[in-house]
Amino acid sequence: MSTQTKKGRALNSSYQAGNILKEYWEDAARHQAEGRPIAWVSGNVPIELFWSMGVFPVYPENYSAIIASIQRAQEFCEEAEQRGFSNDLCSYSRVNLGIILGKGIKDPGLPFGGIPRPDMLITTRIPCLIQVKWWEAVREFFKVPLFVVDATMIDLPVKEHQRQHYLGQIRELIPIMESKLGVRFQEDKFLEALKLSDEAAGLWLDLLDTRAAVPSPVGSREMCGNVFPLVAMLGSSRPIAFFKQLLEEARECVKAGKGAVENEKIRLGWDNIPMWYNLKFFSDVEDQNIIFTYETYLKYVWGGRMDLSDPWTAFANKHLDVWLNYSIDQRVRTLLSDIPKFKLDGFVFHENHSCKRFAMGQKDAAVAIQEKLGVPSLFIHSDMADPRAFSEGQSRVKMEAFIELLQAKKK
Amino acid sequence: MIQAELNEILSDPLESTRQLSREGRRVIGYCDNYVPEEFIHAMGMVPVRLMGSAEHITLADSHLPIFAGQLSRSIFDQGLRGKLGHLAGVVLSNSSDAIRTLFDLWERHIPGQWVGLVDVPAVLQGETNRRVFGSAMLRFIEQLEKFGGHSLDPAELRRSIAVYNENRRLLKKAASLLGSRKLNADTYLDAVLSGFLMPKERHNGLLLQLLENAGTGQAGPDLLPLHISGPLLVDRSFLPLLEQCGATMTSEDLGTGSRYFWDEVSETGDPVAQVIDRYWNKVPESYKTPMEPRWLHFSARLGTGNAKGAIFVVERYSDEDQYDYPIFRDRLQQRGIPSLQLDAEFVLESEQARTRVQTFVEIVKGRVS
Ligand code: SF4
Repeated sequence: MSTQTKKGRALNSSYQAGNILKEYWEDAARHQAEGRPIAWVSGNVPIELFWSMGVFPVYPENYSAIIASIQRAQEFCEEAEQRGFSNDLCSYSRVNLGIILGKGIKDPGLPFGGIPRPDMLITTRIPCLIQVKWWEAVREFFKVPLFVVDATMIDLPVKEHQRQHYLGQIRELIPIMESKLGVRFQEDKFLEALKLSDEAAGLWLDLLDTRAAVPSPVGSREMCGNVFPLVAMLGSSRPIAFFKQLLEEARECVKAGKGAVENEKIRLGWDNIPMWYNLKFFSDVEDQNIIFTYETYLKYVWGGRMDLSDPWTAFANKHLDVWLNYSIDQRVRTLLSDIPKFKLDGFVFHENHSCKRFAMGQKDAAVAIQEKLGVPSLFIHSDMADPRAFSEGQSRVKMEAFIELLQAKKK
Repeated sequence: MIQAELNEILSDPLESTRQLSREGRRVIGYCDNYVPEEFIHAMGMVPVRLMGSAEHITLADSHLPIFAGQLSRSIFDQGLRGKLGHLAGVVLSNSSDAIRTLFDLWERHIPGQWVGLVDVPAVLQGETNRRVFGSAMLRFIEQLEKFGGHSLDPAELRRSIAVYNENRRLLKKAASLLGSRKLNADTYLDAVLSGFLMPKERHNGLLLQLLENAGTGQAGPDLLPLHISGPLLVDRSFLPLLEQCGATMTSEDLGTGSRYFWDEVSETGDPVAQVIDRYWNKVPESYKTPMEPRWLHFSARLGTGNAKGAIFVVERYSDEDQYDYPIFRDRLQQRGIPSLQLDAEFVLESEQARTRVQTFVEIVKGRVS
């Protein structure tokens, strides 16, 4: 079994991820400079709609993750806290509110020259109720129209009344966007965006599937860096070429038996958003012949396939079929089927203080996979953006003990 | 006399509801202002509020993270420990991500007990949400009918609506007496809280007696009038503490207060539709959007009590209220009204709370004089 060098990217195409991110934020600024509309949006909004209508979807969540990855989240969290936002609130929102209420979104010290001002705020309850409250706080500051797409939690398959709830709101959203943002909905453009979205999602999911191979061609750290186009650009053509290249490379690695880590011995899964300020957590583990090769966050939160023979139904299904919107039973069922497929020896649950809805039900899932599959798990208590919630020493000790347990089990 | 009865009911809320079960009533626990109690009542059952507790959590921590909050953790803990075994069933909702999770957990771990779900939208605007709100309520009726083994009788529902409306009118009267200081704040709070633990018919009787005797126990005139806001206030030691610090509550917009009882059901037309309308139009809770009608209710209540400041009692991990606080604080500031946020986990850390309240009261008094 051959290996790749430990410190570089396993897939060369992954080096493009940084450029894509940069282009996206530069494009957003350009879009605004040209007088075209900007919507601030959040995870799981009907993204294809925006790209097809010429509305640039700006993701403050992504911006907060960037801020966390450059080790600046704490200063903005503290800014928000000083202004009365509790330190128990979602750290993405605290970073964002800290920026807005502090030196402002155009502070030259910010990455990519800051965040373009919103003309409209669009969010959804699909992943959590928090997004709604966060956007209300943002609206208080910017005084721009706010639209919330509501949804109740699902068990698959999505029920007809849930689909109709979703689509009914989309039908209300479209004329509001048209009148508030001066854009026009054209169904052919929308259907084209769905096609692009589905193609990109198909490539991404195939890419994730290559990671079921032993050895796995690419680990979590690298894949967390690659996911951004799936979050923010579905419906545009940009993610397709990128994912295609990643997939081709990953397939070649699998064919050649080339793993992302040397002498892969243990395979792990990860639940919840990663700690963006400490992606090293993954690579430190991967230095020990261990690979993180499965993440609920990458597989079930962003892109889904659509049966475009019935595009509106498929569109609704795709947007409602999101891990955070799953009941506990649905989450458990999904893990019980994926863990054997990805041949995981253990599972790490990030009990993320910020993303509470993600973390609810983790304990039941851990018990289920232990009882039904004999797969042990570990809980890391931390936060995706606020480094103050992460205890380096404690996490390392826990991880080491967990690895020992898995190694002993393997013998 | 009435105070003694209130004390007895509130000293052990679970025991009070257990007594109802012993009397042969089918008691249903719920914990959200969007659970349409009228439907439950009309099915011949007694809805009582699950108040949770400040007790140490034992079993629930194996299922819920600490940041699910004390309310959901303690309710689930009580469920797992069999302390809610006297309830015929439990009705949960999506009032928070934690409470919605509780529904899943209840089904998984307390299978012998019926659990219903009120799964209405969080967005209270737009045609679609209005329609979905209605159909979610109708689905809840179906769940109830299946559980109850008979259909909802419109005549029974009309009677239930009348009972609940009377209750709301009496509580509103109590709130106005609070504003004019003819009713002590702590008696008022006890009167409101006790209503969550007994059939409304009995509560109406108690309120009638209380209101007849009101006007005797006025709060001292030199007490600073304050408005109290927050999702729930069940710590009965808080209002006496406030008084010891030189202030009193003259208005509130608590989730376990006026937000719960403020709106009535229209008694004309289709009763099911009218109940649904009431819940759609009621003063929205912090977990519903848009927030504007809640702000209007907040401002109106604050005005009638002539409050000189506001205290927000916010449950730890109640994210929805925590996001709202800075917004409300700033809006109040623009009107020259100071505010204070107190973090609670059912119980307010009494020494810390006392110091903060004392300082706040002094500051407000300084501004007023
Ligand atoms: S709580 Fe989770 S899903 Fe909700 S806004 Fe924060 S990170 Fe996103």
